Amino acid sequence: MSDKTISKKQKKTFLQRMQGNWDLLFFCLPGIILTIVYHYIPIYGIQIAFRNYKAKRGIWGSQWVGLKNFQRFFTSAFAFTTIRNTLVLSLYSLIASFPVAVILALMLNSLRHKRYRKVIQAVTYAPHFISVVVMCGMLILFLSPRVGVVNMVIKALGGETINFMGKSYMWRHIYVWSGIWQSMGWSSVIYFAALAGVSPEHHEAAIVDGATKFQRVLHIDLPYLAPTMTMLLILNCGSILSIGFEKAYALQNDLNIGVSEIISTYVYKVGIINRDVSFSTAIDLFNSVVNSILLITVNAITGKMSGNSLW
Amino acid sequence: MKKLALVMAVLMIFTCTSALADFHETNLPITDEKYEFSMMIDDSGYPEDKIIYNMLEEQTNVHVNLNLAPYALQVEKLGIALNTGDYADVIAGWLLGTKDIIDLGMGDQTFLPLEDLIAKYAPNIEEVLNIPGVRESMTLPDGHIYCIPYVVGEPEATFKPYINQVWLERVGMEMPTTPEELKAVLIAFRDQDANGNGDPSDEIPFSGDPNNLSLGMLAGWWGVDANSGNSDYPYFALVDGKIQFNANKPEYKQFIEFFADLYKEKLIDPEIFTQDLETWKAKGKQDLYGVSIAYGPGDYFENFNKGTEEYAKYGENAFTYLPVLKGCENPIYHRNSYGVTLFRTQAVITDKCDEEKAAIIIRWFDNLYTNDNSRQSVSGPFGIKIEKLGEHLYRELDTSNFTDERNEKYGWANIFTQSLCRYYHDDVVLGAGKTEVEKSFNDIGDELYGPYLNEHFPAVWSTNEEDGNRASILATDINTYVKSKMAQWISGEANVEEEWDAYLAQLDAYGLEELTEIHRRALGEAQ
Amino acid sequence: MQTAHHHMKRSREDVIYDVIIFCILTLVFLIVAYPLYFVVISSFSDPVAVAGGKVILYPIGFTLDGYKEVFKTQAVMRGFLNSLIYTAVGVCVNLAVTIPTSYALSRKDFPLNRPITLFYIVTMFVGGGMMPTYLVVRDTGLLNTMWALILPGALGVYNMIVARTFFTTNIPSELMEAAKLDGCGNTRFFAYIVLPLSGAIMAILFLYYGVGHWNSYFSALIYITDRDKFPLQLELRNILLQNSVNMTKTVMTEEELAEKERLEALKEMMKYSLIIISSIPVLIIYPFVQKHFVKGVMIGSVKG
Repeated sequence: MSDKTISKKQKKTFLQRMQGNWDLLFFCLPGIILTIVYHYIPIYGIQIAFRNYKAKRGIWGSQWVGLKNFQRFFTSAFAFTTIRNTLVLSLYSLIASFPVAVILALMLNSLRHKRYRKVIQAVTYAPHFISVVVMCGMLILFLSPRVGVVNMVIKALGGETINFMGKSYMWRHIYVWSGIWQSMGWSSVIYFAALAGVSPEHHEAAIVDGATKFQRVLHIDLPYLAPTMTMLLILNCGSILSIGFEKAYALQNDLNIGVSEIISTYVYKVGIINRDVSFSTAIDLFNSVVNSILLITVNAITGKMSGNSLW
Repeated sequence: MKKLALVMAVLMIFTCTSALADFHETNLPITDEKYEFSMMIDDSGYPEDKIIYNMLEEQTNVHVNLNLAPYALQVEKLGIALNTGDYADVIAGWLLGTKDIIDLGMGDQTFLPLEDLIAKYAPNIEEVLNIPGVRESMTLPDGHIYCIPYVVGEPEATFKPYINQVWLERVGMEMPTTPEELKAVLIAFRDQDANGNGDPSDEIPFSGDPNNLSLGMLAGWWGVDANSGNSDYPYFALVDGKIQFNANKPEYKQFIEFFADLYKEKLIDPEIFTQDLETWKAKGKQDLYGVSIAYGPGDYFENFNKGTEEYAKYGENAFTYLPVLKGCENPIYHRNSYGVTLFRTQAVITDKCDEEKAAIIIRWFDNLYTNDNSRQSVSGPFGIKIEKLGEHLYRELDTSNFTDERNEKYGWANIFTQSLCRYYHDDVVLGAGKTEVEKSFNDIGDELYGPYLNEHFPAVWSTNEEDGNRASILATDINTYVKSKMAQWISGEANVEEEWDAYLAQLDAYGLEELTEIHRRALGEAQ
Repeated sequence: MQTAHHHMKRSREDVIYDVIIFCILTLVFLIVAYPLYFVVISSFSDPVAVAGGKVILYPIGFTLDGYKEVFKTQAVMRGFLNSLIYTAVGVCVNLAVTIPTSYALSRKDFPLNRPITLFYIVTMFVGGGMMPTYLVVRDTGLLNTMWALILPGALGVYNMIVARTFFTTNIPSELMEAAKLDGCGNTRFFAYIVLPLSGAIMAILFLYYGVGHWNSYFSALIYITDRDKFPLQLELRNILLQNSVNMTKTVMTEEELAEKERLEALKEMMKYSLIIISSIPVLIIYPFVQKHFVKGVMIGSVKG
């Protein structure tokens, strides 16, 4: 209570507030040191984006070229296509997978058969561990018009086989929903764990008041998850432009390249294959800037709306 | 004071001479004491399996510290290594491109110039350099040579479509000679039970290896070579010594229309643009292909029906080359080489090496370049897999009684880093128990395709960095566009007739003219 | 006095709700399970049949070769062991660094709360990139050691924020104040009260960090040069990319072709058995970790 009462005329000084709390600082110290060494110090390397980096000259010795590397990217006819593709894919993934994870957790929490629930959970977590390369191989196989399971089912039901991977309009859906398949179990873990903290008394009180299970889930469980949900949403917004290239690259083919070429695959082709560190660093920097703006904006908005924010 | 100077002088002479005494300028071993250097190369195996290196070490006293990883991984690691300054003494294999040699060799001397070392210590390599045309191609505009030359025989035409002769027989048709005849054959494949399994509807008349699909090569049937595989100038070709872009020519449009028609008639594998390698191979192994584009005869196709009478007639393989079809008066086909290819970026010595180390390394390579060593590194050790009959003449030994393990141990991929340069080009290798050389499949192909092959790009070193950077962006954009349009048109997702004019305009918008100019400049230095 | 009504007859809406949930979850189960089931049966099948789409509900051409190959491959076994060690040590370091930090940052009365939080948030926006980080790792002597895989990422900001949220939601400030009145300092409070109550979050972090370590290959790719220090995922990648198309040379001799065939066949054979073997540790551990989600949550005991 001494922390909360602030007399009208004086605020406590920093040292006074720190009193008794110095050990909290020590709690933070190891992390801070490691982060300074391995994250902050390397930041000087960002300038590679503005230089024409040559290994022999080192970072400081390489010629300063200003925004030239960025220019190279943006003068490519494809640049905006890749940005568009990346954004669409990212937003679609986020909007689709977010509710799925929450709903899954809520449903699992409601399931009465504990054993069955454990089985379902084990199964839904497993896809997370399958490497991307293998998963894409399986996907292409399942969707094959000739030998794939999906088309066999379609044919058995009397329909025509569909060449899924050949239709560019299907590509985004395939990408996103296979991603949901792979990650929904894993993403629901944190919600499920959070739900373990819901007080049983709330539920009991609600039952007494005559609430159905569904209403209880809606009005007790769901709001309880709100802070976690908000936080995860914000965090995910912070990686909107940073879709890794492996999955898109593995699922890319000539027919879908209009939608499957994202920033990271493009940079891989031009930057990595040509070993052009300056180029890839410049694009990474661009990504970081955009992601940051997004993150700050979303955080501010949710902060105003719900009082929950990252900082 | 004088005494000290004397002692020091003696010590110095000692150390100098002992260093030199350790390294032999000629003859083996190369050093008296065990010596070591590091080499980074792309290979899928493990250093302990590479037994030929042990053999070479016994000869030379030099141990090679191998840093191995499969190509895709190793390229990434190389990027990191070069950019951070932590690289090996030697970088070799398929990892480097001409741009690297220009930037890191000529540009900032990360790679050492080798011509003096070769002249002084490496007579075998010098011999290779003296083959007509080699030295010029290996020398950069600054007069230095930065790589060890890798001369190897290659087919003049590689990558061709193959046709199933047994199926041809079963449907009672002749080998096609024109595109229209091909279409008729494909229709027969489609409608009849060509693979003899009782189901007339499961045949796939035409398919292709997804990793080597360069369909644009087949535009040669109509007179223009729009090849995109394994090329520094995808979709470009040399015509009368001048470089020109071919994916916008009327003949190219004809090629597209033909294949779009085939696709519409269900004569082409619907998965041709979407399948991965495993799916394509698996279908082939089930005897589903009439015509397919592939690396080579390989054993993709021979796993079925082997031993039946029909197949026995054709020997090992039911598939043979589809001839160059006459889509016009003078069809052409993409030329891969003039019989011999020089790989110019195979092995470099980095600036991690001082003079003595570089000399030792060059001598080690020179030892590898002796006939016997090069041959053994490819075929296996003498006495186990191969025997020597004379100069450049060898014969394989019978290995049919080898256990699986033994086969594995002496298998081609395990005994050596096969992506490394050597010299075994002149060798004649007889099969086990044979006394004559049989015509290889590649020879047959070259004979068949020889008359139609076009000009091959000369080997140049394009040294303009601005141009190089600009070209890489333009080329990526244009190639992606052409490739995706080709796929869309052929598969019927879009119509070539309707879109042709827009396509031409778009190519211009992507900077085609500029790219062509850059290529002209690069080649013009040699033309 | 009420008895626990929810054990007795459920209302009709509840029954419908339960049935719907059951059905949906079962459907989800089947959809997710099928591809996994496919992986299992494929690992026992002839690879050609698998790629040809013949394997649907049961193995075709039953063979144990896939598993034999994996166990035969020394590199895979070595990688497995390495990964176990890296993960175990790594998670310990992660927890030791993350939990105290997130607890401290969950305390609104900690004056340095805002600056330190911002300090971490900024790292999410700005990063030096792979190469400068490599240089620092090299200059601190971690190259080619296990610590290069553990120290740089010891505190994951994402995970730290998750933990912080856990502490803010689950450790009410009244508890702290009560303790303070009793003269209990921060450290004792943390050690004797907070930690025992942190079962759930420790379990989550254990899982998140553990899986992160187990699945990672990129750091090892950059920092580890000795083959016998490679983690499992890197070896796996080695195998899966064995026939990666190299773009300069497409012409091959007969031997090269045969070898390519052989390598591809090998890779196909091991593809699925590798997944199973590399996933087993995690799948085994998960149920044990899950117990702790439910244990050690004490909310009810404070609000009165």
